[in-house]
Amino acid sequence: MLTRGTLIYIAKRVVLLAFTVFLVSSVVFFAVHSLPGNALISARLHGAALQQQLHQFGLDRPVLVQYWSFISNAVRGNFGVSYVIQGLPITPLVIRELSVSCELGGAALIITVGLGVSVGVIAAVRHNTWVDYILTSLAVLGYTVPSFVIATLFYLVFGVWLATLTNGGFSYPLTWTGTYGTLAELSVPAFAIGLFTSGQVARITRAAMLDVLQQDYVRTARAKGVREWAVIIRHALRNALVPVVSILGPLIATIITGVVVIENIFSIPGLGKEFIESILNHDYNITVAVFTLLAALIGVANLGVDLVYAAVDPRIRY
Amino acid sequence: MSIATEVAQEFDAGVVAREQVSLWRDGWRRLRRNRLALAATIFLAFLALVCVVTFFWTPYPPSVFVGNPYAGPSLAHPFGLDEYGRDMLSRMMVGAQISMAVGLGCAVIAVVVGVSLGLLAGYLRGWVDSVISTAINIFYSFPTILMALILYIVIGPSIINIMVAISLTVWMDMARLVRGQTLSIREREYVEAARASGARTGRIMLGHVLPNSLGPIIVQATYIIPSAILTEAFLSFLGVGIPPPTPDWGNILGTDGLPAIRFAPHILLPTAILLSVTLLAFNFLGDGLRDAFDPRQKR
Amino acid sequence: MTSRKPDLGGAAVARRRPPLAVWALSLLAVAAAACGTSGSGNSSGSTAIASKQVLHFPIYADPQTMDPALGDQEIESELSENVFDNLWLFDKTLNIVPDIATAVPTQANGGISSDGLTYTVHLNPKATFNNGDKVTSADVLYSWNRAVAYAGAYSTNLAAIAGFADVQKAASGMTDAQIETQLSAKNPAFAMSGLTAVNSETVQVKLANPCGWCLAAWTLEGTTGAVVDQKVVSQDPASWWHTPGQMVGTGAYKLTAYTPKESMVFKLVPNWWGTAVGLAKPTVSEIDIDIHDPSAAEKDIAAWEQGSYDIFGYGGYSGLLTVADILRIQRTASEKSELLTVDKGRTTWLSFNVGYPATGGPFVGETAAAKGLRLAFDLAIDKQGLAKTVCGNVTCSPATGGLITKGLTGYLGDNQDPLAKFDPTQAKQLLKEYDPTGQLTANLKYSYNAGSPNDQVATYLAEQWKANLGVSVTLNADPDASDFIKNRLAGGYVMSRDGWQFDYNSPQDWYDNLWGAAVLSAGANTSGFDDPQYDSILAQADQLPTTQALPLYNQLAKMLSDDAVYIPLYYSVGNFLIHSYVKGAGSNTAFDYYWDQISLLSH
Repeated sequence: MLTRGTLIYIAKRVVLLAFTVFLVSSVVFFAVHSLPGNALISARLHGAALQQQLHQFGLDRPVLVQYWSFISNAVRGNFGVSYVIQGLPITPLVIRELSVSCELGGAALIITVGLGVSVGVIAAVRHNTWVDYILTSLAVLGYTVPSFVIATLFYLVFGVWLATLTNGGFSYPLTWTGTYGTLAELSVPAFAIGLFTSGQVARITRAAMLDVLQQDYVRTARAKGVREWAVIIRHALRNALVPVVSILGPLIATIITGVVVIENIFSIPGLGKEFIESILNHDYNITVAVFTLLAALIGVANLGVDLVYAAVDPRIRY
Repeated sequence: MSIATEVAQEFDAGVVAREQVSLWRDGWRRLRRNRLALAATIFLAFLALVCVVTFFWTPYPPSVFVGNPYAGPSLAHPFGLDEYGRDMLSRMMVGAQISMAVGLGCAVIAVVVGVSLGLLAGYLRGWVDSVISTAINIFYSFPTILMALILYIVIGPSIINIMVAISLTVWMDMARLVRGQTLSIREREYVEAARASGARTGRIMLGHVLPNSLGPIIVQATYIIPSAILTEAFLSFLGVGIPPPTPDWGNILGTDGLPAIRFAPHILLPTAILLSVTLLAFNFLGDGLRDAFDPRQKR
Repeated sequence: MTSRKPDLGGAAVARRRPPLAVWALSLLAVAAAACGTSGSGNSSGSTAIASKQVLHFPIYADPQTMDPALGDQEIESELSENVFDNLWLFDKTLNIVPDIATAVPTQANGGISSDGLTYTVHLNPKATFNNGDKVTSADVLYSWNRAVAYAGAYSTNLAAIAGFADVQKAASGMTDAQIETQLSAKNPAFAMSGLTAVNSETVQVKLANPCGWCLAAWTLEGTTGAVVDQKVVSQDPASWWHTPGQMVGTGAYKLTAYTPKESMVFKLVPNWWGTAVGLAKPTVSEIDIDIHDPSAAEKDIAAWEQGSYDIFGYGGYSGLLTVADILRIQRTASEKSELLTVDKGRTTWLSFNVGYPATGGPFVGETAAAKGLRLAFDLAIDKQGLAKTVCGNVTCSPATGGLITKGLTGYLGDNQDPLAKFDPTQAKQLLKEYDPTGQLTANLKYSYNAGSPNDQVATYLAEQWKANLGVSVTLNADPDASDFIKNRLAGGYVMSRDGWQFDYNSPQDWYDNLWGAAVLSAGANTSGFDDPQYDSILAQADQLPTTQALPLYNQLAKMLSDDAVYIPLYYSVGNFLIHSYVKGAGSNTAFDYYWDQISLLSH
């Protein structure tokens, strides 16, 4: 499977990825530096004191000089220091937050695929029964209602109502302990993201399964006496998954967007929260670093999806 | 091919003769039968009416203190008051205006841009197609939020900027769709005939290709609107969309509703439900239109 | 009642069984005794100290810096005050007592010369940095010269020392690293001429002019008066303050771990040289601080209630408890006594544009009309109602005693500020007299930075002006706080929210930083108020010791209120949640009590 063609394809994609990341990084860098010089928020700074701080951070150099210094540092993994928390190196901070976001995004992806495929399969197998109707409706609700609405409703139900109902006896932990949280704390936010995307997966899985279950080879397998669940799982599902993988790319983009929003709602210390915070705090060095990492993450995720696609669909050859 | 041709074929197959109908009449008939889509249309028409009315009148001015903060629903204020004593119903109405404006505006921009680029890519092919297709792929790999935030940083928040930013993330679907349609339609005999008789490219694209893809374009446009509304809502929710005092659904949820969620959920819930129902309505309408225009479906 | 007498046999005297009531009472007595000794947090029973002396509390932002030369936010000083010492410190009641210095200099003990220009300070020979280096006068000189050269927000605390302006001029335009190089090279241009070392344990400070507020300014905890270790700082001027092992001060605690945006840990310095106030030696061995997002405050309050946190509100977050929270806690019997309410030295008021003609508005200048309109708008606001509506009278109190907060020197006394009155009748009269057509007050805007409680205050003000004057004022909320402050300081608003948090207990801190010619030329005068008489009285007062200067400062207060330059709104009230087993924790108007005074009882 790992043919020369595939390797060349991967190489091409990696180059495209690097190019895209570089492009995004540069666009954001120039966007940020097109703003008036005051990127520092200490309100007492103005006039000469402000100029001093600008000089301190090298913000009074010509933009291209700053850009060159930024690029040459970035390729070595050094994203500079924060403007707000003086002297704090950015790279370890964003790498740590990236891992937290990956944890959340990964959990959401597992829920998306796991829940979505299961629901889709069940709805297809129980086609046109009340089970199908309920599941399909839930799926429709899932993919229409925005993830942040789902998240706030979860917050309301689990964080507020549940506690009131049981008189404070039982409330779902909506805090986040330590860097990576506990499994319980991870579940609600991950579900909030995953419900939204699993709706789309369920829909496609159901349609694909319905299609596949009509095919000749499935009828043959049934005729041969293969047990129903083996027919479904081993014969039908494999082929039904192909269209699912095809939407995995945009789905991951949606999950990443969902991660950004949910991190902000549940105060999870990940890259998404840092993203919005750095913009609102004017800590633009961090903003550029976050954009760069996100672009890289998306590119890598998309490349991964394409490779999975190739593995799943034997017709795809690069 | 047109519905008329399809019906004619069925006639040949021995089915009971049916009247000749145009695409539109047939589509409308099908849509009417689809109850979900019908309900959606009625709801959206009502919402549009509310938006128009809001230009002239709201129960109370939306940004002014009219009563006790956090007051719950009452006769005078059916949806209660927010944390500054502002009437929720009035705010939701203005929010509807903004959401619809952004949704429609983005759809218009995306249609104009997407259709033009799709036509060009599909008809001219060659390097034009390569460039446009690469652009489509690059834009696909950007989540909306990245693009919107870049614009937010540079230009600042305003409704125009947000519309531009969101349009940049939804035009690709339209372009791809039109490109695909164009690629297939350009091979049809009547197009070949037109080319042979010396018609100019532009005329062919606009006169032959475009009308025949109108159905899918309309359907796609109907799907773009909820996408745009959703994106705008969550940008405002995060605080990087329409700037605060303006009551936009996203703002109401994020800035007003979420902080007060423990003791005043009436600020959050109605708007959350309203937003969801609006999005659902557009999606059902889109589904209905898609089924209505789908030539493969039997009556 | 009678009952069968038990057959006791022998010489038993027939006894009547005690009545039921007696049984009941004795049962009650036993129960009470049992409950009394079984410990729960609030019982006064246990006085034993806990085996685990770890203090745990949350904060809601990373300090932007903990370098005393640069810090200017409360979170920064509340942490730094435990790691760094100044020459003197404020005790709980805001009196100045010795810290690294052996005595507080006065004219009586010869520490201050008779002309008030020379201060002689002796350093405690035991003073040691937490890495073992001894403190010498060279460190004091380095710390203060460095603070001046870096020109941070509080460098002006040292402004009275001779040579201050020269050093700032020499250092202007340089980066921190460049300044460190100059200081290491002992470049005389970077040393204030007035600051000299008599010997390794004696420092002499010469002022350009007598200064009544200087001692307080130099004592301000966690800022420019603090002493740092040159050896450590010069190695890494950018990052030393957040690197465990490099955040070196003479305080009882040192930084041992810092995960940005997540947590911080401080540990007790072994064999600390200093003396803890009220304890034999510092008891708390470790401070665990969680850094959370402000939106997590409610959850953290719940966590405090469940015992996961020992204190809530430390670090400058005494304003996070909402009115709803406070009322709820006051109703909860077990928590009521653990709520600490303290006046915090912060006042909020509304400033009129008095001195910037370019910005416009009907309030500019000293004409009768301008003054009358200012007064009208002031009298139309019910200040008591404001405090009640916006803060439930628990998170703020109406500002009725002048702009200097209650509890500080310079407070005029309850209800002594004429501008604190509420007189809608006179307000309407003034309005009719000076703006009969309503033209002048037609398009007014009130500007403020968005957020709680500013939004509620703004809404209330608008509502009051509408109801009591019939004037509609548009609310102009700026979501970007630093943007708003920048514009305000430049005099860009006709009516703006204004406020001040005191730095050190001297009226000079207020009058010199908010009004007058000096702050106008520094570009930080919101109202633009300037008057030659104000400036001359201020200059005079600044040179006298605070007790003598007070009547002069009060004259300035009268000038401002006679001129209706402001509308007084409210004083901030801080609220802390401190479990009863945390002894020695608390706060005064200025700062949280030091960690070295805290001990945890077993609970």
